[in-house]
Amino acid sequence: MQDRADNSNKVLIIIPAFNEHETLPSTLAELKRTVPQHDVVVVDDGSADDTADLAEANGVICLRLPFNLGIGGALRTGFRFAVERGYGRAIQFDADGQHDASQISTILAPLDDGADMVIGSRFAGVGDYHVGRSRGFAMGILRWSIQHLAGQKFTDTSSGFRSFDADMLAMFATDYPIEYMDSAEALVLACRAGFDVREVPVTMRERAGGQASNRSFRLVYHYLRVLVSLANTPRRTRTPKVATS
Amino acid sequence: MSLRAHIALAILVALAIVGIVVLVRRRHLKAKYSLLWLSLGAVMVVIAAVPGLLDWTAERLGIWYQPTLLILLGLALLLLIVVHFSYELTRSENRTRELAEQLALLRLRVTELQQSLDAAEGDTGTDSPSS
Repeated sequence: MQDRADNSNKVLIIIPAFNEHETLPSTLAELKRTVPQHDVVVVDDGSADDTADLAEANGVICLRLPFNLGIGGALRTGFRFAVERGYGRAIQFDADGQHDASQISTILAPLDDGADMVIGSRFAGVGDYHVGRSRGFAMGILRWSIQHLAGQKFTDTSSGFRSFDADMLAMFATDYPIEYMDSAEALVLACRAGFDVREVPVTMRERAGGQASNRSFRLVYHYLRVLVSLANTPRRTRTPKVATS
Repeated sequence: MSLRAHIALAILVALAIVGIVVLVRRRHLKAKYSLLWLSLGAVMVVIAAVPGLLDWTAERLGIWYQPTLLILLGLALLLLIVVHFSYELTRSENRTRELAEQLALLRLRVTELQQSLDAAEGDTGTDSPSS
């Protein structure tokens, strides 16, 4: 904004965090070690613990939401911040240690090639990440409906390891899904709006700490919810970008 | 319906309407919400005030057991009101979210401005903003 340096060539790493006391410091340390050239913002989603203080103690910018909005709201706040400060690119990165900072360059690469959004997929070949059977099954159903709605095949729709270009950020800053399975819905939203969404294989670690936000007894409820919102995703709000090169 | 039932209904509806009006006057209820309830009351008033209207209408509609019409009407209006509330609630929640997000962004900006102000003033014993 007004008093800012030009950020259009910089990358902002957005970390939504809700009660991540255990893992946030090591995640931030890893980022500082691996990608010191990128800026980091932690969006504290109304944590009850000292997540926000930890972020600031580690020297990163922290946006403090007054109460818990859920991952979608935290991300949208991060996207707004990225747009407000004129960042050309942003990364969505988990606080829980699941994502590997050394692979940030991997998910940034396709943006140079004209992609608007890149998803780091656990199942596209590299690495050996395992999910339980019921989760695998549920993810399969979701994958199937998304393929039909997005008109494109994705192997990992729930991955929260993603990169975005300025156009994608501009859209998500105002219009990001707030329902539970935001990642899948965002994907469909972007595809249907005519953005170039791609997937690259990445490896992920098992969660280092914190609690998984996916509880199996809530699965049916959340799946119905996401299916309802998926089925109602608007279509074509943007004309496809003319292919560069 | 019997005359006694009509009188009972009329009294109940009158009490309900008075109750709604009192709430609006005390500003405990917004006028826009009271309209829905008052229109429900109005329908009930007409039914209570005109004996035979309910039976006549039910017969026209081919409803054998006439009081069913009363329940049907009441349910339909209640449903309308409840859907309207869901709509209002969604809108209200969207606005709350928007406010929360803007607040987080503004809070950061204030902190930053305060810091640059402190830096510009030099170390003159200024407190760093606590959060």
